Amino acid sequence: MFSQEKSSQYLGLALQKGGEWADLFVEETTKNKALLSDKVIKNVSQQQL
Amino acid sequence: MANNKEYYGYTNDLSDTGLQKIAREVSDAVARGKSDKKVALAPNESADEVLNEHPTKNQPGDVSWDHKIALLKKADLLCRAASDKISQVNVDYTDEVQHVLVANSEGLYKKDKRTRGRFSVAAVASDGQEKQVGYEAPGAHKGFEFFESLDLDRLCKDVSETAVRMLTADYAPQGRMTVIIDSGFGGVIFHEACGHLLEASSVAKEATVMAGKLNQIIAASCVSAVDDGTLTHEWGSTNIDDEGILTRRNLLIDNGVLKSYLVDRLNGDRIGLKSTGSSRRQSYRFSPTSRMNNTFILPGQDSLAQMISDTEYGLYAKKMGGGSVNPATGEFNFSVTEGYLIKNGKIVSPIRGAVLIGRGDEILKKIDRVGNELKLAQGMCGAASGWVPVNVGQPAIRVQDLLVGGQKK
Repeated sequence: MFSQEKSSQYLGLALQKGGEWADLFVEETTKNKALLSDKVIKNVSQQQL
Repeated sequence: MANNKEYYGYTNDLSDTGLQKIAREVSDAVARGKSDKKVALAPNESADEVLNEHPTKNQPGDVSWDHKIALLKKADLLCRAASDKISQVNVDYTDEVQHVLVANSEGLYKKDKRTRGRFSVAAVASDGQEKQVGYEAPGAHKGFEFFESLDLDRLCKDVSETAVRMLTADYAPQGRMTVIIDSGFGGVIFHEACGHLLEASSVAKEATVMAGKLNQIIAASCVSAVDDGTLTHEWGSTNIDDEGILTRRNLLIDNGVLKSYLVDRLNGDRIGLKSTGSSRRQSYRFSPTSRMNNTFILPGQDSLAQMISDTEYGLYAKKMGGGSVNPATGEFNFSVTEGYLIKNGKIVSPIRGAVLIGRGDEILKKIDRVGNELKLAQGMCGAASGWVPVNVGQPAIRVQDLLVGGQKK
């Protein structure tokens, strides 16, 4: 995740040519999924965002 | 945001170069929009890891796949053990850990961690000629302890028994009648046909019949409803919304009077209202907008048994299925997956194929009894900012003169 200083830098860049307000949303997600269908494991996956 | 217009960009290139590039692209887009206003960044508040109201005991990532898959296999066996008419079982396991940072030009800088789990079980019963499905999908804002706390025996037995019971159900009658909609997932109608109409994104465009109705009577006086993003460990809860605002309990309807919309920052500026901590998005790929968290009708005075015994003729909709809604008007139709006919104050037989048809603002005024036992149920809500986890809910409610679509006159 970004430091406050880096966040401010990117927000400042986004607003440098105008605008009233900006926000920054940073996300790190790990999702695990498994599906059993008709007695068989059909899908096991890990998704990272 | 410039002149109440939103400019949005996203990237998964987290290098300094990649992030400067996306920031400049957004800036160039604002310039093309001829915004003439420039603001200075506010000084940063102190860094803030928000208080986590949903602490986890057991991180899902620390649990082996073997352990998770054993749960799926156990559920399959339990469903099949409940009846020899169960011909197919699907079980779905999902866990998710999301770390979030939200910062803005007013100095806000907040971090949050969201850990969720969901376990879906669907069983198909067949008698050789017809098939019926039972389905439950509990979820929580918890770690792996959520899965360990599930009563799989009861869950799988309920799912299978529902499917088997509906095999012998007669077709539903049609026409206007009294309908008792049970607690829990019965709240999906309120969510779809009323909750979405209260989102500031629709109100700002005047694309909802609820626009301009604050402090007006929109429901029967026995109806009060909230959206509460703070409920501990509930599926639809978050500590902060996706604009960094603390979630809260928003009283939407107070004894029939509309008291609040669900407001995000952008649409709040458009309609002159402050954020209610209701801004949500599926992921960084979506611009956030006003959404629900845990939305439900508050409990009243009546027991379900009393409501049924006071109903001469009608439908008891125990479990609701899918449906469709016109988001502007609130016109809806929802299927009843488990229903029963009520005659002379008693449940007389299971029925299938019933569809509830109406309009959100009309059904709110036709509620005449509200039960005393609130239950919540978990779902995924899809809208402009993607799919987000939500709870729907209500106690049992009784609705007069609701149109039921069925196959019998």
